[in-house]
Amino acid sequence: MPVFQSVEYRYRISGAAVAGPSHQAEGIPCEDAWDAAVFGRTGAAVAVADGLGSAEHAKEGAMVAVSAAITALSAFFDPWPDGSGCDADIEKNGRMVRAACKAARDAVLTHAASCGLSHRSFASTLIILLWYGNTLTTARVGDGAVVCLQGDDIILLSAPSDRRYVNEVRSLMDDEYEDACVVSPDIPAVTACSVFTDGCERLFLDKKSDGYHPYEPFFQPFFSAMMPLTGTPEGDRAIADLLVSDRFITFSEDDKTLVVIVSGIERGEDTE
Amino acid sequence: MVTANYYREYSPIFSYRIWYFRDGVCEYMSRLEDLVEIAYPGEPHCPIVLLLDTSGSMSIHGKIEDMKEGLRAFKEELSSDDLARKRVDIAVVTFGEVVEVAHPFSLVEAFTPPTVIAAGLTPMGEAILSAIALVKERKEQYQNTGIDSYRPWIFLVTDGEPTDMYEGDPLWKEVTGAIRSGEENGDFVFFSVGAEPADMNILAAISPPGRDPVRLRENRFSDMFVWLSRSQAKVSTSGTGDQVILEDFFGPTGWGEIPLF
Repeated sequence: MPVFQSVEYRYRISGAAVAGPSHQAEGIPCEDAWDAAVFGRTGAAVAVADGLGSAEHAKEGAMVAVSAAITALSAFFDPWPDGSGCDADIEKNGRMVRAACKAARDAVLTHAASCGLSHRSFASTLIILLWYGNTLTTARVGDGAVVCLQGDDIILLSAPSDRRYVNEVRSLMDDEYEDACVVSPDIPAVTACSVFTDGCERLFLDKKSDGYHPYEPFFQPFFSAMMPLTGTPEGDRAIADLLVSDRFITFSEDDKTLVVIVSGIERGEDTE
Repeated sequence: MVTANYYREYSPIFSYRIWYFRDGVCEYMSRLEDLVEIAYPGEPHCPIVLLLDTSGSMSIHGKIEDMKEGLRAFKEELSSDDLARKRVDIAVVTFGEVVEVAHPFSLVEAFTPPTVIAAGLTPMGEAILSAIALVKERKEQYQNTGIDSYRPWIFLVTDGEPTDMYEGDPLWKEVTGAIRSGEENGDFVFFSVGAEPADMNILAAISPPGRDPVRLRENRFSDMFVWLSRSQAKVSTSGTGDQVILEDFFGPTGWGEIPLF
């Protein structure tokens, strides 16, 4: 078994979005979308959107939203002409994710207008994760969640909205979307983080009377296993296989998206 | 924290494998799903209260027998839907000789259509308040146990008019106020169906704005309950943000009609 040292990356990302069984049966494609980018060695971002089932062009809206969010965040990392830094160096993370959220909404509004359609027919949720240096921050409109590994602790950084009914959700296209936009506190020293849509919520989170808790028997082995895989094609495939596995589709009919981002330098040995 | 180390292996047969070492022992797992446990969550619940008139007049023209048959059809139809039978949470409140919870909330498999006997007057006001209280209590139970839920339905079926309240009296105001505020606050959805010879004007006055009562055609209780079960199946399987479109029951062959006042 030949052995070689892993390629070193500051940030690595893997993920997959798969259609739920009910959508597959009806021939409807997955209406989730995700996008991500690594900004050299200084930062990375992930955006995940879940197109609403009631919106006719939900998939399109989700795709436009995640793409615009990543583009907006990448602009903060454009180097200044003198090469001394970038806007991200002086801007607060919370402001950057809020700005990305607004850019995503504006992009969907513009797209809907250009199509001559109501912006509500492009409605989706949106989660944005920004990892700048050693600090991670998220913004979320609607459901879905973000769970991090900080040391040995599993932390629910962005919990699903406390909605009254399971089929009700806030959308990026709501007029009051700014009120619904939940920005997390900055969190340092994270080594891995997962972002996922509501189709995964009931699989990864334990809901108790006091709210949601990350399900440790899932996340501890998951993060450990994904550390060497993340950022490789096998990482994407591993997540996709997980999301379409029998156990997962038995317990969740919804479309599912799961994205993992890890930071730090891997010392593991790969075999080929 | 699991301290085991994981390594990846390329394979022409399996797309990848995750090598797994612990305590110096090496074994491999071919799939990520073998490594993780999932929360095995409970299914979200979709509560409905059937609020059924069992007053003496229901014995006329075999309506009570048709209602019993309808309840059986309701259970049968829901049982045939894999997801609905795990999610629809049914309670029955009857009002006739007394107002009683004839069946507490239970999922479809544990639901046994209660024995209903036609007798007594029509204490509809008290029964409606009882149904609203039952819904409130159930939602608190969901909250305390972390169970997700859909918006509850209260489904009233009567062939008469209330005998315990009259338009404008204190109980009337309490009942209609509770229905309106419950609807406006999103606490529940209230439907009413009148079988002959129900006073549809009274039902319309009780019903929330924008949701007129439906007149049951030809005592077609079974057709109505089958529609109700299909509606519940649709609601209970709807996803986040889905818009649920219920089957039309007004057509020439449908079980209901909107009365013209």
